[in-house]
Amino acid sequence: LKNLLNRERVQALVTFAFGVILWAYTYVMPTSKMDPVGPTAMPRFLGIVIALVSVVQFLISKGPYEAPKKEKHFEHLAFLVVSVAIYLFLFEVIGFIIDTFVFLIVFVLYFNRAPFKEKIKGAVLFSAGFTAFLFIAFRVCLKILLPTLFITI
Amino acid sequence: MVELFMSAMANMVSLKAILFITAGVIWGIVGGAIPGISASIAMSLMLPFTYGMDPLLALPMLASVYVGAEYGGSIPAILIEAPGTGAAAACMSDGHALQQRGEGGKALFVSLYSGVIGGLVSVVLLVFIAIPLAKFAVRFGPAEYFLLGLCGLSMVGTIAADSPCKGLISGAFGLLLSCVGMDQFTSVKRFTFGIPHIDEGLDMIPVLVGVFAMGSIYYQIFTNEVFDVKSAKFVMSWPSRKEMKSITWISFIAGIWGTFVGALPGAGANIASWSAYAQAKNLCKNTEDFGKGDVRAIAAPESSNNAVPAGALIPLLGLGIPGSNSTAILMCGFTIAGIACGPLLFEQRPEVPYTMMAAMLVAQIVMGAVGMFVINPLAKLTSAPKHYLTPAIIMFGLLGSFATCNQTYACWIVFACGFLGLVMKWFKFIPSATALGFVLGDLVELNMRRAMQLSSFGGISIFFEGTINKVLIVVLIASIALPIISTKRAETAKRKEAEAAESGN
Repeated sequence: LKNLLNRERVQALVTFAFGVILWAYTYVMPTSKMDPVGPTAMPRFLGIVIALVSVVQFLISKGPYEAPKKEKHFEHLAFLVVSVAIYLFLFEVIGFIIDTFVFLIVFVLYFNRAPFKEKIKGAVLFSAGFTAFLFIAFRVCLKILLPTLFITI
Repeated sequence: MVELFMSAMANMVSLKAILFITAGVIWGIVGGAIPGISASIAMSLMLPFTYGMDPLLALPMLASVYVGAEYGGSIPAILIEAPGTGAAAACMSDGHALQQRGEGGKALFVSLYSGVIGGLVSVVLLVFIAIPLAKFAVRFGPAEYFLLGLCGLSMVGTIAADSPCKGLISGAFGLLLSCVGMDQFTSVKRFTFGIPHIDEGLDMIPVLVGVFAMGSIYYQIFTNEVFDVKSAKFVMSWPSRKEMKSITWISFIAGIWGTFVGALPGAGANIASWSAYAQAKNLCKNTEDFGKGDVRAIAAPESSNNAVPAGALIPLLGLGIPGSNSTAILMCGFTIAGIACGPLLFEQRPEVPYTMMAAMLVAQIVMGAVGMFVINPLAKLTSAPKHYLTPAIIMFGLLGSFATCNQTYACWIVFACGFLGLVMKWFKFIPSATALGFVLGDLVELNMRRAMQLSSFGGISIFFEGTINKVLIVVLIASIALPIISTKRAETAKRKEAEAAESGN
């Protein structure tokens, strides 16, 4: 079973299922009598293409499962994802300046491996400087309406 | 033709145009020089800034980013043995060998000099090929365009991927993403799932920034690449007169080669630079120093690599089909400016294609002028800690996308598409094929439906009528089948070798 269902074949099964679901979904999608070809033609065509190519992928894949060689760091990725999500949630609540400053400082502190006392100064300077640069570039020069809370320029 | 080109040149040598082109070239060199930021990422980060700009300045600036990035990639390859772009890897062994011998400055000069020659050669070829191609392509109807779009997409997908099938699925997924939102023929909503923001479809910029820039950052952090930092210092030195003579003719030939490879959909800078390296090794005499610091081994791939941007403009301007992810982003720039690429552009707005050609020429000259001055600061930038560079790129991507519609929703699209890019990279799908499919989606669907409407109420017989269609179908089948067969053969050969080695043990 390990040889039959290698990594490539499992992926091919997933994409095949996706193609079939897409193809089936086009029969319940809203359509229009105005156009004889209809808005479902392209998704249906793509569903068929994805399913057929997945079948070819399944058939030509052979060999045992090979694990990817690169080391994975789920904790770093989770940190990044959560911090970006929080940044976006708070973007219009606390305004661009505070939100960006805090995001940058937290990011630099987390990913810089130096001792805290060494990295805090660089993190604060970088975060303040880069936030100011972004504010000037986007708000002042490009006139983008960034949410700035109480600061009005 | 000559009058239009000279008029475009006159516009491009104005102070304002030169400033925009210089900004584009420098941004491209910076983007190319930072490992992990490719030409397409640098261009996608620049794309939001082109909103509302004069198209005859915005498009040359974007094209200049492409030109600059192809050169910029060689700087970290030579200095710190970390290629900024995939194509720059071809000059890495010889360039870094020279750097280790204290001749890094010479390697960088050769890279710039040959890059500029390759770029200039390619612009001349662009002028002479794109126009006849556009005249021929005026005969194309919707069926031909549909097949041509599929050919471009399948070539990019199958050549770029380790597994051609994954490349095709990636491209098809990109086409599917372009279907999201209100159908342009009937206004029926597709795949919106009740989310009001996406009724008008997914914006190009957040999707491209997400798939390329954010996806790369997620992937680099996921695989721990964010902490790899190397320092770079170099001493300036110059090639001898004999070396200059030998690299000049190599650069001319490699420039011609790079233009043709760049014009082929899917081939791109990687194939151009590696194949030029291999050919230089075959054609030159006394190649025993190739790989150990031979300047000819830097000149050939760098010239070919820098000829690719102008070469890639040939199908974009002549046919309206982008042949690579970078030209797909350039096509987005055209769309943002409200300009449709393709052969009719030469009739309806001839100033645009000629401006692009003139801009490519000026960008090469600007790159030659500023290329050496930016090396020192770039040497420092390439060795800057990634924990500063990475959040800076994240902020540019998020705010650049926010700027397109002044809504946080665009940032969420970047966030989500970043995941898509990460998953695709991790499972070895091709984000660039998805991006190309997304950009080509409207063109492919529009022409497919128009052709089917013309063909007796929804039939597909129209796709098999006429010589051009038949040729395109053969090309399409070959572009899908040949890579699958060759990959299969390579895998079988590898398996047999492994089995033979095991039985020998």
